[in-house]
Amino acid sequence: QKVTVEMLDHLEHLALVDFRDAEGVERLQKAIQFADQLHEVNTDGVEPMDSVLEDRCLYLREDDVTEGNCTNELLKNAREKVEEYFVAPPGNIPLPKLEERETFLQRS
Amino acid sequence: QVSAALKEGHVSPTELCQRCLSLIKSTKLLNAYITVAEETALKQAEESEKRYRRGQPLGVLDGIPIAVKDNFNTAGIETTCASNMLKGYVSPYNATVVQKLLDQGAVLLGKTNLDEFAMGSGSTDGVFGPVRNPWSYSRQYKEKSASKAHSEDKESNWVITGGSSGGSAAAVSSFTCFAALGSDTGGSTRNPAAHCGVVGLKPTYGLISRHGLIPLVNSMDVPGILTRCVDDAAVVLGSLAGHDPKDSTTIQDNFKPFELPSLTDVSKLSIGIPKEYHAPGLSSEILALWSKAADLFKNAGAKVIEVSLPHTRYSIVCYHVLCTAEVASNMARFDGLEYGHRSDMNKSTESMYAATRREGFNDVVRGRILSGNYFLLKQNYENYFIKAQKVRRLIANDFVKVFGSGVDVLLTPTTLTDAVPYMEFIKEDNRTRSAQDDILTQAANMAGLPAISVPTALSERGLPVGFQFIGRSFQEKQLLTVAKWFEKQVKFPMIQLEEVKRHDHNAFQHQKSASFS
Repeated sequence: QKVTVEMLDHLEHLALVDFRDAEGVERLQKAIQFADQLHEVNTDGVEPMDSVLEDRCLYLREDDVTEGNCTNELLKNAREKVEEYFVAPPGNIPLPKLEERETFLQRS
Repeated sequence: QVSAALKEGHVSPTELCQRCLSLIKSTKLLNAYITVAEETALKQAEESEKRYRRGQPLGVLDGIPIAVKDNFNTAGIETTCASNMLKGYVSPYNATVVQKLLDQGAVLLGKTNLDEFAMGSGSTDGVFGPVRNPWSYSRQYKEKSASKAHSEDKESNWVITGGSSGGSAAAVSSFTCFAALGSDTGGSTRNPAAHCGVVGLKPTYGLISRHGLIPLVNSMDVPGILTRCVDDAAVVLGSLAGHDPKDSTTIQDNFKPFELPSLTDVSKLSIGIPKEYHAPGLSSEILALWSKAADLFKNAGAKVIEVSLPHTRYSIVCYHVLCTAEVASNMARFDGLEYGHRSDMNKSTESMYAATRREGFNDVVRGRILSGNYFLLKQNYENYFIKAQKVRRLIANDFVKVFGSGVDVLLTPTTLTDAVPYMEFIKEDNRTRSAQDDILTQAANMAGLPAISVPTALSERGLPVGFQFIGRSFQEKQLLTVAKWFEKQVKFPMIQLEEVKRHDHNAFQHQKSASFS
């Protein structure tokens, strides 16, 4: 089954990256096809494995502040900042819908 | 050897550093380095020299020039991951492994080239261009291709390093440093090690801290070690392994650094040959070498048996799903707000994020993010992501069964063929290539097991072929002991570099004698 334009649009929204061209879409198609091979394996009664260290206890540090105060260091790498704030453009504005966006998907 | 030379004053740390720096300059064509930290390296070398003069070196690694893959954070030095997304990003901190090396007095020469965000198996897909395998310029390779190459072809005949830690492998192979850090998620340290004729060690997951290593797949990434001989790898491992409170996925067991014994008696060893590793595409040459390698052990009295890891062929599919899923999550942090590239688009937060990411990531990275998001959709989660996690357990269990039956170490080829010419490699896309090239190395990451690639012999084209040993969890000492014995038996030839390194053959004799331990 081919992936629908709605699905591609949905993915572009979720990932906030673009497919860019037909090759990008083809790449996804092939990736899905490749992954479908998993269904050949019988996994009845098998538990999913999150980590190879699942039999061990995770190490948790004490809840004490031992380092920090590096505001200046961290702000150095940000392009837009005001005093000690990172500046972002206005939020709560959703990405334009497919018809209004400049995206390759419009042409499909 | 070089460490002893430093101790006895035959050569000084600053001299050593300068030679390496000048060698880096004369081998620029290889494109192994993204950033060369000349000033800081010389300062570190000077500090080291002071310590040697006082007779108080910090250890074996004091004064030793090393290189670090550009996906490790290095304070004050640009860390790019070979991506536009992080161009200009200067790390505010050192990755734990980098810090540990510096604490031992190592001299950090620079950051090495890789595939963008460590995604790839050729070190060809970074924004700074591909890395060239130093063996492309070796007498051994040239002699074998003499009949076919005309002078115009010679330029385009160069072969890839493999990836994604190609820069690190090339740096060690071309003598510009004595050890390098790579990362290994699907084979990214062992693959280029095999193609460049150096030792590539992937430690057990949880042994070495990942704090400061820009993550690809949190459940499989490990820092990798590249050196010219197995003993050196053991030394570096000794200084890096151990619990790190800043990385809660490192185990808390006490780690004791070890020196490798020189095995003389292998009769108590049981070597397993997994038959599924005779994968489609394995060159007949490597198949023959595999047989010879097995015979080496047999003739020395070890028990060599064929074993089965039935789910091997699904390892790469499983990896594909889990990797893209984790990548989709890990790459979400790159939004332009706090660090890295930021787009000029500022109509809304979302559109700024979208524009930043389309400008910053290359096709490979974007492709994996999109695929990952697909597999993580509610309607696909169970069928792809959870399914892959179940298959992962089956793959890990395959190994448990085999090691449980008395096998000590597995012996397999590291790659399917020797290094291919760049022009040929780029004919297929990144995902296809990765799927083909990672087949023999990937399963060890799935199961979290330690694995090492040891340079074994030269192919008919005069290029290195490496073989891989996979060991039991946290049994690096046993793994490396076997690898060292093997290394001694095969006597892999030294690279005879020509064109790239035009200067001073004699002056570099010290460095050419390979190891530092």
